[in-house]
Order: sequence, then structure tokens, then C-alpha cells
Amino acid sequence: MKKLLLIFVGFLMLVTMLGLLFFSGAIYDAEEKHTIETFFFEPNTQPERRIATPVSADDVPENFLRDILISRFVNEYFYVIPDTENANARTELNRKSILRTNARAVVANKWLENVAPQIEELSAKNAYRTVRVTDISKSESGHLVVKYELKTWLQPNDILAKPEITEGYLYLHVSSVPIKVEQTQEALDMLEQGYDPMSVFRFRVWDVEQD
Amino acid sequence: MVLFFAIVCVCGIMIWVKHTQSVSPFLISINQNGERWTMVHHKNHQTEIPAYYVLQESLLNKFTRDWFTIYNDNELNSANWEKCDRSGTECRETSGQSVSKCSIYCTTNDAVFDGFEKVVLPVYSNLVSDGGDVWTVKTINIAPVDSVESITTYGGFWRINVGIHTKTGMIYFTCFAKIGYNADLYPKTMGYYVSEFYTYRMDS
Repeated sequence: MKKLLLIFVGFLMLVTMLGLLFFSGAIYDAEEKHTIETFFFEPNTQPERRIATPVSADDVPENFLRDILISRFVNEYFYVIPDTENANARTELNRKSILRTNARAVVANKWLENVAPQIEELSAKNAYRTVRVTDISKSESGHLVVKYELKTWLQPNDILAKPEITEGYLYLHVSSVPIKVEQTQEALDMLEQGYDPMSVFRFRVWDVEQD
Repeated sequence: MVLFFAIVCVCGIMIWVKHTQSVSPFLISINQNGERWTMVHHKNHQTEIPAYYVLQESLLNKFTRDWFTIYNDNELNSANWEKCDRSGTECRETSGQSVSKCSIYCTTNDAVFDGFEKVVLPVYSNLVSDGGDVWTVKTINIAPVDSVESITTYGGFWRINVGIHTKTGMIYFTCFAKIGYNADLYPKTMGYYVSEFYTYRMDS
């Protein structure tokens, strides 16, 4: 009878212990209990960010490479977006700027003197300016003659406002070495550090004149 | 003899493996005008899209659609263009309806909405009263101005290209938007709101 009682007491203690374990577990869980709230958002369609058929830089004709590099350079030279931080960052000419990586100091200095003040002024007024290269030819002296068109919207949000359109010429003296992608470790490191993809192209502007 | 042959084979395989190069291209995406160059992929540069990026993108998608939509129904237009109390239910609770009251006002600040009322709304009102024009957003592309990394938990600067179908044909806009963060004032959008919005008509 005594043994039976001991077994019963032992069983009771086991059940009590399991019960306590369950409750302590529940208290522990209550502290970390989360409810899930589901939100649905409209997805964004981003076809512009999707690339089409990739083409290797080695397979692209040099003229085509030259044209897109010049377009990019001229665009960097003149574009304006309604963001003063963007204008300030560009005029600081940090080491990642195209005007530092793909142009000589004289080009950057001319830009700072002649174009940067206007870019700062326009961006402070929330203006927007697009750049389009309409023609690239070679002069007798070997300079590249780049004809460009600037469209400037001076007033944002005005549906009826028309942009100011101006045309001009840039005379570029570019390095004569064949345009290729630098395939060095240094170039790869630059890309991974967030440099502009243009900086890995062997393309350098030595001098610029604006008309 | 067999062991010797096996060792030679293993050495050969090791040399072959060492000289094998895996291709890891840099993919650079260039837009139509050649103005925007973006590195879209490299094996060591995998871009992760965080939740705050998707939230801001979604807010801009809805906001831009609301900004450029003119309905065929005056009641819907009034609801879309209306100004509400920021502490009221319209700006604090999700209605679940496709056209909710004050949807532009509730997702932006007073300065942007004032600009909308003064500059955009009079033109929209004329379009509606003159010929009952209807604007429907057909295409919309949203991307950060700089890079994915430039978008943070507290907002970012975005570029949006929009194509709109109107009675007279398609019209196109390029927009720039700054997203700000204020969890108290904008609970409906988890704290994100449009703090600056600039639009430029590209086909003019």
C-alpha cells in the first residue's frame, strides 16, 4: 500500500512538473508572440530596368561605342534635374565623377567655370534639362564635332508649359587609342566600389571647347 | 603502375581545373538616350531589394496614377482631388477601394498638394468641362535617380516615366519625386509620403 502511494505521488509530481513546464513555456511565448498583418501593394512594372539581349563590348563596333560614350559624356556635361544635392555633388567633382575618371583636369575646370553655375541655378529653380546628341563628325584638325540639343523645362508641374530648346556644338579632343574595356583588376575593383560603368572604358577627353 | 597512372591523371585534372575560368560578366544597362548607365548585375554585386524600397516604389506607383488620372465620373474626380483632415479616418485607415477619398492629399505634404491645387487642378478642370477628357495611366516606370543603395529607410529620390492615354492620344511625362518618412502623420503608407513631386511633359 505504501509503495502504491509512492508511485501515485511520483506520478502526480511528474504531471505537475509537466504542467509547470507547459505554463512556463506559454508565458515565455507570450512575450514573443507576434500577429501577422498582411499588406498588399501594387507592383511596379519596370521594363526599363530589364536589359534586352546582352551584347559583349568586344562585339560592338568601335564607332558605336564611341557614340554612346560621347552621348554619355555630353549628357553628364549639361543635364539638370530638380535636385540641388545632385548639382552640389557634381560640382564637388569627387573621384567617381566621369569628369574626373574620363577627362583631363582642364576639361573639369572648364566645366566648373562655364557650365556648373548654370546647372546649380537651374536645379535650385526645380528645372529639368535633357540632352540629346544629334550629330557627331570629325573636323579637319581631328577634333570631334558634337552637335547637341538641350531641352529645358523651367517650370515644373505646368502641363501646358513648353521646354526651351537650344542647340550647340562641343569640340572634343579625345584620346586616339582604340576604345576598349579595361580588363584589369583595378577596373573591376572600381565597378564594385560603385564607380560609373563608363569609367572602365579606355576613353578619355583631353580638351573641350563649347560653341 | 595503376597507382602511378592514377596520380598522373589527378595532377592533369588539377591543372585543368586551375586553368578553367568561369565567365562572370558585368551587365551594363543603357537607356534610349544614353544618359543613364546602370550596372545591373555582377556575381560579386548582387543587389538586394529591401522592404522599404518596395514600399516607396508602391507608394509612388499609386500616387503617380492618382496624380495623372482624370475619371469619366465627376464624383470619382472630386474624391481623388479632395482635401481631408489629416487626422481623420480617410488619411489613417485603408478603405480597400480603388478610388479612395483624398488619396493624393493623404500621401503627400501640404506644399505638394497646394502646388497641385494651384497649377494642375485648374488645367484638369478645364479639360473636364471643355470636352470631358479622360486620362488613364497606361505605362509607368519607376527607378531610383542614383542607385538602389541611394534609397534608405527614411526615403529617397526617384524618377518616374509615365505614359497617359487621353482623348487626343498618348502623352508622356517624366517626373521626379522625393519620399520622406513620418510614421505619425502617414500611418496608411507605413510612414512614407511624397515630400516633393515635379512633373515635366515630354511630348510638348
